[in-house]
Amino acid sequence: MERLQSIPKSWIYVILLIVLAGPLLRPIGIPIPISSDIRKSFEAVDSLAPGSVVVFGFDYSPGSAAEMEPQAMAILEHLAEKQVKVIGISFQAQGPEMATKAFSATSWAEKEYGVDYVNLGYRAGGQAAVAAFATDIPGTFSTDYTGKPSSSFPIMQGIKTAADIDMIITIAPGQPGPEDYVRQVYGTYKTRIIAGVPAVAITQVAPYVQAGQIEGILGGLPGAAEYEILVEKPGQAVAAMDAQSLAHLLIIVLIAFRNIPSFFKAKEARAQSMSGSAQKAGRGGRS
Amino acid sequence: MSLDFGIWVEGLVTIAMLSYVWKENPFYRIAEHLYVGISAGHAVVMAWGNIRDAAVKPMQEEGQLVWIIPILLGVLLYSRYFKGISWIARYPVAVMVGIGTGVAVRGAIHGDFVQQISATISVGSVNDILLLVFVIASLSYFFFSRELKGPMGTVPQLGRTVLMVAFGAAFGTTVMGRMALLIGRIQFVLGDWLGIMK
Amino acid sequence: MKNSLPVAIMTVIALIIILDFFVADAPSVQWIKQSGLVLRSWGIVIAAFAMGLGAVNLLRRHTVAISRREPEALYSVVLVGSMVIIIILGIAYGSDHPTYSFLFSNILSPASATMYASIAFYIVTAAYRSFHARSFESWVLLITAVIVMLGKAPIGSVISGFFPTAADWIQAIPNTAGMRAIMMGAALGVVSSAVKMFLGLDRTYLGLRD
Repeated sequence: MERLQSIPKSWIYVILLIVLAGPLLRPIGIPIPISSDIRKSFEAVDSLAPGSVVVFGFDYSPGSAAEMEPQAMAILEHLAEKQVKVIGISFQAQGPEMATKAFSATSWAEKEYGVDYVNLGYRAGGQAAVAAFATDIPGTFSTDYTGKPSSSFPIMQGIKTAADIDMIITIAPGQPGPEDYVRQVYGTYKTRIIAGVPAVAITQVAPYVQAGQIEGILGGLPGAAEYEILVEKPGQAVAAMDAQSLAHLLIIVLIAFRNIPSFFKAKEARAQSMSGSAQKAGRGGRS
Repeated sequence: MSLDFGIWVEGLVTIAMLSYVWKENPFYRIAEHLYVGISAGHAVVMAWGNIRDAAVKPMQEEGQLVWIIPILLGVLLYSRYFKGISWIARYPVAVMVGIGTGVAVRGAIHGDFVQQISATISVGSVNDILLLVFVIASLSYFFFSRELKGPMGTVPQLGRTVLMVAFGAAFGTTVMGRMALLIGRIQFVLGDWLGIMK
Repeated sequence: MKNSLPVAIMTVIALIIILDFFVADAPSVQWIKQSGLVLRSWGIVIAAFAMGLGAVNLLRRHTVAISRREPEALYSVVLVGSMVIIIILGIAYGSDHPTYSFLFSNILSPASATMYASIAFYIVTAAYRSFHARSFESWVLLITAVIVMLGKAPIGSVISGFFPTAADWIQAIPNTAGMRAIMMGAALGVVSSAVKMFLGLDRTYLGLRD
């Protein structure tokens, strides 16, 4: 039993790599159920009429792209199919490059720039910039990411404030992110918000979802995988799901190795003093 | 296996960065310094784009001279590097903090406080009642810094347990996110680079 | 004066922006709305200037290291060189220049992605070494984490339908309650620290300790 508590660090690293790489090389095909969160988000996007205007916040960077990019691409595919217009913006300095990449890797590559979609680039200032955007979109984003005046694009005609936007979709791993859109945009204009968040942030945005401030969320890579299935374009996220499942199992097994032996020991030695049990914990803590 | 030069550079950078997990080494240090240099440079380019498009262009093309004020304030931020006049930087900082504080306060009051209370007290189902009880219990855990005795003591205790559930959920989702990022890199190495992924 | 005028400026600006949110659309208060709008757009420009401070600090530190020929000066050359190249390319030719895109997509992107990805190794070993439940509350935390990990990945529903249902309930009810309490506490914290700043009791943001 004690051996289970002292697996060397390097072994754990190798086991992790094998567990993740194995199912990528030989997929198992574990069925991916659709959760209520994703179905709700999908239905919200699906309710958009052709010609609606969506602001798409590319608020992620390459560091989080493994989780966020599949979400962005899956939703973009859905938006393309719905024939809506997309205004790409970013409050994260590396976002405009993410937008360019996502537009060119999806069905948007075949659409007309400036008419069907536009990439307005980045604005500094975090939450303050989000607030400026809400009340004055053409003023805050006076140019696109290459410096062309945004007023020269047909898609921008008639767009003044967030009230002129049918939905905001933000793909954001941190701040500025959905919280800032809720605080600065939803508070005044009640614009519908869909948020793609990394798994880490699912629990943090839950209160906004319950309060109805955010209409739907996509959480982490599983969220992207489920959306890919709903838009019938299985991609990178779906391919990753077997590895994701096995990784979770590995962690659970490791936590069990750590806790089950001491759980039984604690039962046996319930009568022993507190100092005795602290010593045992200390020994288990090294490896 | 890919024959694309760019993919190879990407692959080598990936291996160099990953090698830190094993041990710090010169390849990692080079990749790390490239990363910091490029991202800081990119931030400067983006910042310049903002200044050019949001302030310089309206001033030059539309004669909106008012933009000289934020430009001047921005330049004054750099007075901190000059002894004797470094105090001037306090003015642009005061303007920035004022804007940031104003935006944060109004957002916090409305989005994070008032609307959260109204969402908590609109009770219509068993789950809503549970949510209300759990929120009150969690708040009581924060507010009563002194331990409450008797039956009242169970309320903050319940709050503590609710918070543990929240932290447990956060731990679970954190694991989920970190694994996804590593899977993304492995997908690149096995798929785009080595071409052995199905 | 040097110290109190910035506090006054900060307070007036913050109050205008706060009021702008709460006042109605009446014509008599349009100046507040207009001022708030102008201030926020200025904020973007000043924040953009502030972004350069980080680059200047980095440049100062690493050029000193190079001029002193410190043992790690080679790395500083790499950092300064890459930074200067990308700034020149970006400002002279725009961020869609092929070399700029190459540096961004083929060096910055994989480096950044791998840096965050390698945390996975540490989280696995940390979970294994430190996740030692010893009290009722730590068991609550551990069991919740396990349910969420199973419920949020496809494997959970293969084992039992209980896991996704339980994970969704945990996310929607106890987690929402706990996070909401933290959020409301933080909101009060934001307001109280703002009040302290308005009253001049906290001036650390100006680099003043008193």
